[in-house]
Amino acid sequence: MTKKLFAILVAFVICLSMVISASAYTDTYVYDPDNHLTSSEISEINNYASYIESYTGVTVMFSITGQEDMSNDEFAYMAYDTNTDNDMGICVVHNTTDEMYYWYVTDEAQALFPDAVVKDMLTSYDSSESYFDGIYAYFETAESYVEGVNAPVADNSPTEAVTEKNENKPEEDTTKFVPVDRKLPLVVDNANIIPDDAEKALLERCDMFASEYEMEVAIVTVNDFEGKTSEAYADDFYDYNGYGWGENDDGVLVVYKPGAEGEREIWITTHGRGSEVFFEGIREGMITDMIPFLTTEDYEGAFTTYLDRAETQLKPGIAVIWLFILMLAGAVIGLIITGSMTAKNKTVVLQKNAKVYTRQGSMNVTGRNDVFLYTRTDVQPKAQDNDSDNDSSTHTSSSGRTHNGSGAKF
Amino acid sequence: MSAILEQKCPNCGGAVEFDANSQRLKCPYCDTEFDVAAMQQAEEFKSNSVQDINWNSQNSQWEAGETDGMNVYVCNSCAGEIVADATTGATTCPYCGNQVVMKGQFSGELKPDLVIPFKLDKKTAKEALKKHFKGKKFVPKAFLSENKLDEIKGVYVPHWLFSCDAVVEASYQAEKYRHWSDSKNNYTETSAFSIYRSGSLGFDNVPVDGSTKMPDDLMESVEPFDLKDAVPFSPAYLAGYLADKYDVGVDTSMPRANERIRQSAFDAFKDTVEGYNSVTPIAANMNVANGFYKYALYPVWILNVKWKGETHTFAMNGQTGKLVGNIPTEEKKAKLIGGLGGAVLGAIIYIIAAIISSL
Repeated sequence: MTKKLFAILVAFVICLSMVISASAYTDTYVYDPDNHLTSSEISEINNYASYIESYTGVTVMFSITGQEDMSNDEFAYMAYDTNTDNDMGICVVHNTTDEMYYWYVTDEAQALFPDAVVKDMLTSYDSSESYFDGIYAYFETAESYVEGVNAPVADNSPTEAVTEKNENKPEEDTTKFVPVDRKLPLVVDNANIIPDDAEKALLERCDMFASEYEMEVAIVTVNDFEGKTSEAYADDFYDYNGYGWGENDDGVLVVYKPGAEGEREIWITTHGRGSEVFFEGIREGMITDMIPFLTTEDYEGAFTTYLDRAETQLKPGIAVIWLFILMLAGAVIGLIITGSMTAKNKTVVLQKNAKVYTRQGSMNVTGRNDVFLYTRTDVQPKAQDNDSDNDSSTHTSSSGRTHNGSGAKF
Repeated sequence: MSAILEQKCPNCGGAVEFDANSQRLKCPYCDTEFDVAAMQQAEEFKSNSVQDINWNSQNSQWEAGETDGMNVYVCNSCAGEIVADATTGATTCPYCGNQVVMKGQFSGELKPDLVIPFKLDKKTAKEALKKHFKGKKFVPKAFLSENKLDEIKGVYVPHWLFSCDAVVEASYQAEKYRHWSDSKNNYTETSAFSIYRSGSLGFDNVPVDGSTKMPDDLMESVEPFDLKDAVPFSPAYLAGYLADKYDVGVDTSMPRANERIRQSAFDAFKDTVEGYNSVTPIAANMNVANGFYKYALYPVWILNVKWKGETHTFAMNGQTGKLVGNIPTEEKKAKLIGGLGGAVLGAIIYIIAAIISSL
C-alpha cells in the first residue's frame, strides 16, 4: 500500500517536472531527472523527436532514471501518459540503478514496436559512448521504423522548424521529408538558359502531358549540383520538391548543367511508372538525341526533342514491333491455311499402318509390368517479372525511394 | 499359251457382261440376264470343247522370243488374234469389241480365292471424278477447263490378303511429372518407370497390291475394301472388265504387310501404357502366329486424265466409290498468296488497332 502511495507521489512529481519542462520546451520527449544531459542536448533531442512525431504521427520518448522503488513499467506508462494524448507511441526507461530497460507501448503502436524493434532501438542506444549520442541513435532507429507509417502534413513545415532550431542536426535527416504536392513548376530554368517564350511553351506542354497522360515530365537546368553527383541531385530535386503524378509519384525529370566542353552534364531520373515507360534504352535515346542541340546551345531544340520523345512513349499506341509480329504471324497462318488447301489436292499416299484391318476385340495383353525406377527433382529459379528490376540503373535515393536514371557528361 | 473364256448368251449367242448394278450377267444384245452361278454350271459342260479348239495351231505363228512378256489369244467370236500382256486376265477384243477372259490366267494355283465384284459403274466413276475436282483450291484454271478424260477402265487388281495374330513384346520408359513452386523457385519432380508389355493382336486381310502395273500408293489410297461383299472367284465376274493376274509374288508382298501390321501393333500396345505424362518406346519385337494369306481381286476404276501431254491417273474404289488422285497444284502461287496475304492482313490489323488505341 505504501508502495502504491509512493508511486502516485513520484508520478505526481514527474508530472509536475514535465509540466515545468514542457513550459521550457515546445514538447517533452526526453526525461532526465539525474541530469545526464545538458539542457541544450535535451533541447536538440526534443526537436528531433518533435520532428518525428510531426511527420509520422508517432510519439517516441526516452527516460534515464536511477529510481529504485517504483515499478519501472508503471513509470514508463506514467511518463508517457502524462505527457501526451497520442495513442501511437512508445516510452523507454533506462534504470541506471539496476541497468535494466523498461518500456511502455500504446495499444495502437504494438504492431509498430514489437520487442525486436525495441531491442534494436536499445542496441543503438547502448552501443554509443555518451548518453546524448545513445539517445540520439535511439531516436534515429525509431524513426527508421516508423517512417512513412502516417504522414499528417503539419501546417507549419516541420523540416524548417527543425533546421531553424538545430544547426548541428545532420542534413540528411532534415531533408528526408518528401512533400505530397509538387512545390515547383514542371520547368525550372535555374541556369536561366531557356528563352522565356520557349520556357512558357515547354511548360504548357509539360502540364498538358501531366493531365493527358497522368505522368509528370519535368525539365530542370542548374549551374551546379551543390556538390552532389548529377544522379543524386536529380533524385533529390525530384523527391524533395514533390515531383511525380498520383499516389506513386510517376514521372521523369531531366537535369541539365551547362558548361564548357567536358563540363556539361545531363541526368534523367525516373520514378514509379516513369521507370517503366522511360526505361534505360529510351532514356539513353533521349540523351543521345538532345546532345547535338545542347552542344550548340539550342536549349529550346534540346528540350523540345526531349518532350517529343517523351510524348512518343506516352502516347497510347502500339509499338512498331507489333507490326512485324502481326505480319509474321499473319504470314505463318496464311501459309498454314493455303498449305492445308493444297494438301487436299494430294490424296495419293502410302498408308502408315493397318489399323482398319485390326480384328475387333482381339487385343490380348498377357504381360504387364510397370517398375518404378527413380525420382528426380529439378529446381528452376523464378524469373523476376518486374521490368524495372532488370534495369541496371535501379537505385535508392537519399529519401529512401527507388529511382532509375541515365546521364552523360560531354 | 492360254485359252480364252468368252461367255456367250444362251439366248442369242452374243458375248455377255457382268452388270455391276444388278450383280448378274447381262447380254448387251438381247438384254437377257443370267445368274452367275447358273452360267458357271452351263459353262462347265462345254469347257472341254473350248479348251481343245484353238491352242496348237497358233503357236507356230510366233518366233521364239517374240512373245516374251506377252500372250497371244484368238477371239472366240471373230477369230481375231489378241495380243496381251502376260499378266492380262480379261480384256476387250480389239476387232469385235467382245469381252474376253483369259481362262488360264486364273486357273490352278493362280485361281484367286476371292473376288469383290464391281458395285459401281463407269458413270458413277465419271461423276466421282467431277466431284473430286470440285472445290479444290490452287488448281490451274486451264486444267479444270482443258483436262480430257482419256481413258476409263474397270480393273480387277490382284491383291494378297494377309491375316495373322501379331505377337508383341515391348518395353518403354515412362515419366510422370509433378510441378509446384515457392516464392523463389519452380520445382519439377520427374518419376521414371520401366514398362513392359506383351500380348497379341489379330489382323484380318491386310491387302498388298500384287500387280506391278498398279502403283502401290494409288492402290493403298483407295483402301479399304469391305470383304463382306467378297465372293468365291468365278471368271464370270470378270466379263466386261479388265483383269490382271498377280506378278508380285506372295513372298515379295509379305514385308509390306508386316510393316503395316507392326506399326499398328506397336501403336496399340503403346496405348496400353496409361497414366503417364510421357512414354518413350525402348524396344519392341513382333512375331506372327497363325498367319495365312489369300489371293483376291479387288475392283478399281482407273481414270486417266490428259492435260498438256501428261497423264494424271485417278483411281476409284469400285466397291465404296472412294476416289483418289493427285490434282495438279500451283504450289508457288499458294505459298505466295498465303504468305503475302497473311502479312498484309497482319498489317491491316495493326493499323486498325493503332487507330482504335489512339481514339
